[in-house]
Amino acid sequence: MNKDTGINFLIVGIGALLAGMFYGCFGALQHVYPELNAYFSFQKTRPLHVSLVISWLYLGAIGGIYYYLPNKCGVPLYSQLLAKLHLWIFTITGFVIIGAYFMGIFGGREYWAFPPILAIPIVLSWIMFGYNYVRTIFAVKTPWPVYYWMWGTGILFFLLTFLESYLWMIPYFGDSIVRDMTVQWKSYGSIVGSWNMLIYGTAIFLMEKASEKSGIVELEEAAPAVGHSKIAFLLFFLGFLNLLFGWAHHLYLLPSAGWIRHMGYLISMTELLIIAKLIWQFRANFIAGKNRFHIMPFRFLMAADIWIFINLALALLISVPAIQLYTHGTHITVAHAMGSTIGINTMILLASLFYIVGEREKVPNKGAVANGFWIANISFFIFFVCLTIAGIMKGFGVIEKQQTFHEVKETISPFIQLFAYSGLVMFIGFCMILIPAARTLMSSREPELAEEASAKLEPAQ
Amino acid sequence: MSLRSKQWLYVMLCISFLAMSFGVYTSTENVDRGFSVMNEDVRAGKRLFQDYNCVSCHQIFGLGGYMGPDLTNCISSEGGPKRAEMWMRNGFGAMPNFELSDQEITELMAFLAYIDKSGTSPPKEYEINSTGTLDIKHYQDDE
Repeated sequence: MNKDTGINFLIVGIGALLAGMFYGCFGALQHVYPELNAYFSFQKTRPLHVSLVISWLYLGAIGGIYYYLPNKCGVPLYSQLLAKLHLWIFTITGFVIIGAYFMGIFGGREYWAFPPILAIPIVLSWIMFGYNYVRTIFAVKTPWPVYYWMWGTGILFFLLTFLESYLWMIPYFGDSIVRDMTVQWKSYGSIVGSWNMLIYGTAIFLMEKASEKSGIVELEEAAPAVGHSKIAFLLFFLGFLNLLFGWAHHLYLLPSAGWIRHMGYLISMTELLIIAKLIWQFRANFIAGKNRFHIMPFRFLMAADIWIFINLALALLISVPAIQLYTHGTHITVAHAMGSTIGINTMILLASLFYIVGEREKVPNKGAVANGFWIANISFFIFFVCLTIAGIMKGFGVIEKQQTFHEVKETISPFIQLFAYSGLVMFIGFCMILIPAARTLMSSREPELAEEASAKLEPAQ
Repeated sequence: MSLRSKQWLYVMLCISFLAMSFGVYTSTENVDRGFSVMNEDVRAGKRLFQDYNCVSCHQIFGLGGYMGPDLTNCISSEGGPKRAEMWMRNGFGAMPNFELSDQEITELMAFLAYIDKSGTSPPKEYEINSTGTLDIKHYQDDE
């Protein structure tokens, strides 16, 4: 156990990601070899994969917040005890959920397939987190940088929308499938917005802090303003708008009220446009100054940058209802989800992880981590393209040719095979990245002096 | 942007969210479709659908897993009820045999029959507008 609760969150998060990816690979193989279902049914594999990787997103973001506030922002946590309790309740509940899945005990919904009673400790620990965060932040007397707003908003709205996702337990909501699914996907859309708030806040924090030690005079001078800039607050409010109202694109094909279905058409993807602009500008500044691609956190931020553009193009297309007619319920939706969670969210969280790792140990720009970076990204590109092609074929097969499920399955089979195998390679790439990082964090090494850490950011000769 | 402006904008967005949520919760358009077949079996079938985590593999209105077919209109499709019952009773290929009891099968069938009346997926009749929006005909005129 590390003394720092933030680091412990990150270690648990890495474990969740590795386990989640393992079940993701197994699940993909089950699509190729359905006979594997006889050994371990997909009914268990999918929730294991989904819950574990979503846990990684939260654990990775929360770990960063608990670490950065006292160590990098100079704001001591209001209560270390509450932070530790949060970690323990989250971790124990996580293990109970995994045990329930293994035993085939469900009762929940997509994303949260576990028995609803297990939502109670999650809510309680989240309230502790929120209380601790608010008490910590309200001790700051200077104007807050935008990432304080973003983290706070992510915390508040996860709590509200997580509770909203359990409204189905009240018969008024649960008895009507149309109302039930509308509210379910309304809450899920906002839950995704809440974790985006936590993660994008971390991205802006990293850009600010990394600029401080960049060695580029212009960037270092501009660094304190990054978190207070107009563009950063514009991004925040647009992101917030998306969190609140940008979920309707899940519901275009449901028979819910017209105003609900059309509301998200214009709103839904503005958030990505702005963050792309922000990171692109940051990257351009860096290239203009000096190439910093060899520094691992920047490398992951640049990968996130490229994935934002790829995902943005896809997201804008599928947010048009006429196009979504062909893409809804196809593998393009999976490509969009994977593009966001792996390409954008995970790359930002890995940048955060390696920023913290880099304070303890030099991360060489060659070797396992660097190779893992390329293996993960190239295989992920193949994975993403396969899903997109399979989705297009399924969409046209179902809508234009009225193909049956089995006809579609046969047609897209080669792409599903390639998707599964590229997923396996991606898993190997992520192991190469994550295992050394976990090893460093689990060792008892303390962060080195700022000067030494800064020196490590210098390019290898 | 001053702190006061930020706070004002934040509060206004939160109030708008609450108002919109209230509108979504109380919207009545199509929410009672299929209520003609609603009974305790349907409610029990829905609980079973969640207890067996059927959504891992199957979709309703295109939302869910990809291992098996979309179940929204499986009852009204050709050979629907018989085929659905056969799969539930025996399993086949990727579909495990869950050894469901007769009562469980009756309840799941009732739930699927309700879903079938609630709308259409994938859409069969639709109109694409010049603005890129979509009008889907989910119901026949007499429904």
